[in-house]
Amino acid sequence: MKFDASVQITDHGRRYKKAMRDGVPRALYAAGEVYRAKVVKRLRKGYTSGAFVLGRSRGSVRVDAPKDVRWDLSGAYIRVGTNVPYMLFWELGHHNVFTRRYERVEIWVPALAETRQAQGEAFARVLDRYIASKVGRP
Amino acid sequence: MMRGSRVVAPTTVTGAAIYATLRRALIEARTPSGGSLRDLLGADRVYIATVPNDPAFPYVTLRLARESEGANGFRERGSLEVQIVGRPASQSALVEDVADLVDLAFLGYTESGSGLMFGRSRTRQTLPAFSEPADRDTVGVVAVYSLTLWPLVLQDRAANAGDA
Repeated sequence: MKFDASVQITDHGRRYKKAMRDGVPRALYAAGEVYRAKVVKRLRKGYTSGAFVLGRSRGSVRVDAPKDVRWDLSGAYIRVGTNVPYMLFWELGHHNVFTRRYERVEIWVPALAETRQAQGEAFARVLDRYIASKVGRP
Repeated sequence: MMRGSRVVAPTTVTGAAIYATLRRALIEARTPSGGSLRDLLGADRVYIATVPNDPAFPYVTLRLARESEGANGFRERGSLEVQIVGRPASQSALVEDVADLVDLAFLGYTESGSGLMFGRSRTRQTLPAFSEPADRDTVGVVAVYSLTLWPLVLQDRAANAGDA
């Protein structure tokens, strides 16, 4: 039998799987950056007064590098955090020795909720681009 | 609402009623040996959302964040944050005991008197040592309980909207 046209079927399964595995850390990093930027923006206003936020604390807000993304049974995750302990006390509330009052200014949790949609969009955008760069678009 | 001879406040008929119901659940909780929050604290020091500037220690705070989860917004996911704070640091064991009682109150919590609230899981952490600007002598435990709510207040709104 003679054909005038042919269709070639290529299995991209392995390449796609690898691209997905390699792309997820990059996509998570992009999502984490969205969150980090929001936290830093909120920190600019300071806690009750700017005196309680220094450049050091804003600069301490970090996102794990893509290579440090962790995988467990529920999937992959990336950490966004700080090593400045007093930010934890402001977030959870504390009895402040300077103001002599109970103080609580939440920044991290509200920022997480506010950026949920934008995080998802950033994740999807970066993952889509990465997979397309490795496997091509259908 | 009447139950036997005892008057019981509506449980989820308003946001404030939800807090009152949760607070009551904690105050009425008992340890296996029959101890209560009052036995541990010497008083029912349970605050909602915020704390007086000069409180007696230890105390407990409750704060509930609610988020629509499903059923056209009638079902909610709630995060009940419970903080137990003591001062001085020698109260750390007492604070943990209170946190155990809070676990007993909310870890298997079910309230179906009007509307429905239940909880089945939580995270619990002892806070690290405080440092300035926080008072170094305070110690604390934070637990966050995952609740599912079908609050009556939302059903009432739906009924009112239907009448309009």
